Amino acid sequence: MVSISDIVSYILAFFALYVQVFFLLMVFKTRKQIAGNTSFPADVNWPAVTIVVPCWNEEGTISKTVESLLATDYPKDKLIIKVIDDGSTDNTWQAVQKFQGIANVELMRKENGGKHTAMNLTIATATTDYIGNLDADAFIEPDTLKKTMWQFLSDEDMMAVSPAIVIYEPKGILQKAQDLQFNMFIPLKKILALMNGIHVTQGQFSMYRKKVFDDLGPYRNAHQTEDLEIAYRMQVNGYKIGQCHDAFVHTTSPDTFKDLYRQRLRWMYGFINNSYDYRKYLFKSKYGVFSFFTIPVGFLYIITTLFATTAVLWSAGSALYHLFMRLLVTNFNMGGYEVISLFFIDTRPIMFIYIVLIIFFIIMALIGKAVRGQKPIPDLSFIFSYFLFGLFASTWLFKAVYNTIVTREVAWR
Amino acid sequence: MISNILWKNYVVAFVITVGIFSTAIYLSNYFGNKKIDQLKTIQDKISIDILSSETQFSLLSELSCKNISDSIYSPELGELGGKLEWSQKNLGATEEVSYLKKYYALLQIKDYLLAKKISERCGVKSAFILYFYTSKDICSDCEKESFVLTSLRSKYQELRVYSFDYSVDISAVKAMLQIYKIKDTELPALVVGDDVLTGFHNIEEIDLKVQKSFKLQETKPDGNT
Repeated sequence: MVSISDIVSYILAFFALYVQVFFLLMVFKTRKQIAGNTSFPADVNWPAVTIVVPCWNEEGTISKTVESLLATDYPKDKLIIKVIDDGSTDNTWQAVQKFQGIANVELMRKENGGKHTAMNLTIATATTDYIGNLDADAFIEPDTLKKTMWQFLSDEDMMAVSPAIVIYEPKGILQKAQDLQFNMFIPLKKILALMNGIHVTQGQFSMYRKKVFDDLGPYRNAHQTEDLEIAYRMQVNGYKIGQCHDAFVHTTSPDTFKDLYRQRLRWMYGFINNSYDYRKYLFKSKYGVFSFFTIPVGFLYIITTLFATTAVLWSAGSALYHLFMRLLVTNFNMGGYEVISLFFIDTRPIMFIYIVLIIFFIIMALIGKAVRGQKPIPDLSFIFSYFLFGLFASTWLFKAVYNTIVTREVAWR
Repeated sequence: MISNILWKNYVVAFVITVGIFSTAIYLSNYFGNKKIDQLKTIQDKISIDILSSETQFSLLSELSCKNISDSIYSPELGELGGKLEWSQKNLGATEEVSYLKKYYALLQIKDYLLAKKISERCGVKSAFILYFYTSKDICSDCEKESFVLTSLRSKYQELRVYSFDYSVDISAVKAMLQIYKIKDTELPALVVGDDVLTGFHNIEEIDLKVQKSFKLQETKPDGNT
């Protein structure tokens, strides 16, 4: 007899497989764009840009962030760096004092009001046509800014560009799993950019034409995910968002489950609630891939992960319960053990679909490694990412859904 | 340019996905059929074993019980039961599995009658339990009882347990249900010796019944040796 759970699992498996197939197909079709490097003439007249570095209790990383901006090969007279301390309670303000006096660095301090308020304060006084932001725990490479800016110069419709995010010096299995995940995002986000379906311009060095803020207004709190909301607003207003897959920004990443949980909870809570706020734009052809594909796929990911985790936990719990019951009714002398036989291998269609999904995951992870310039060889982080990260993800997904239902906002960290 | 070909890619991805799904269903059916073939092979072997035992028994009636061989019982009977239960849960209640379950029930009855005859006639130490359960409804007591019986079977080599699915539509099983007056509301049900027990009974109770069954056998006069 086919149960409701079986029907749901087959429907979800079909859509999950469809999304994987679609992405792999698009990777194959856009392989030249993905493999290609950004190149530009030597005599480009680079425009002036303002980079905002909002910081709140970032004493450990802020210096390195600003130093990476100062080390860029972008013309110094075209680069304005605005460091804004959003009411830090640690030594962040003291840490940035060493940049006092540098011509193109401006230091500001304000009462704590959230990242979006710090951003808006600087955007309001910006004098350049391009504005970017760099989280105070991320570092760019010397050519990141030029490569990113070239996207605007080579496409006059381009309104915002995000570089590729990679994990800074990943150590331990948790950070390596995040590294693998972020590497996989590079080709995926490139594909979404080519389809004009990007839904987030992350805080790690996304650049905008100032016109975006002039036309659409400043950043909003947006459930602590202002970088998500501004991208939603741009998409529904037809503003093009691009990605520069070979311009890298390195971000520090959580090294404990607790920190990872808080970060991802904020992201997922923001995704669910911003999508809900923008629900009237969903499934409307006018808003393209963003409306029909990107956001629904995000929800498919949430539902699939929660369903799969529930199913795994249910099966494991049920097996343990039966084992316990068996031990109990037999006075801990179970007697006969089931013969291990190939006969008992599960050969339902869903098992073959799972195998295909795992193979596709490995292929995408290898492509991610290759795009990042690493040797495309599987390692232990593959196993961890596939089998355990999903279980981990369920914790913040469950909590994000729960918080949404009971309308509880989440903390930044 | 990409946007123009996007719909084509959506459709191509859909076709590929349907193709992978169809392949998965085909592979599942292929391996499912292989398993059913395997079950049929085991069933045939048991059938031959029982026929051989019956023939051997007929021959023995004219000779001596001393010549009775250890291989008179079909060892695959228990294995087949487990595989059939698994198949019903995982391959679905296909016609083949239902048919094989009926056949299996018949083989068990034949094996039971033969083993009982041999035991009575030749005084072979043995005890028999007929166990009735259901796979149609959720029956957690049936599951617990089967754990108890598995444990006891490993404790007593001479104990033979025959399990019958109440929902198997076969007249021979129905006849047994009538003989022992077992209703579907009283499952699990056990027949140990002359006792009919309904509902869950713990391992100590069943163990005592089995031991009693052995003792009764010892007190009976020996058969024609």
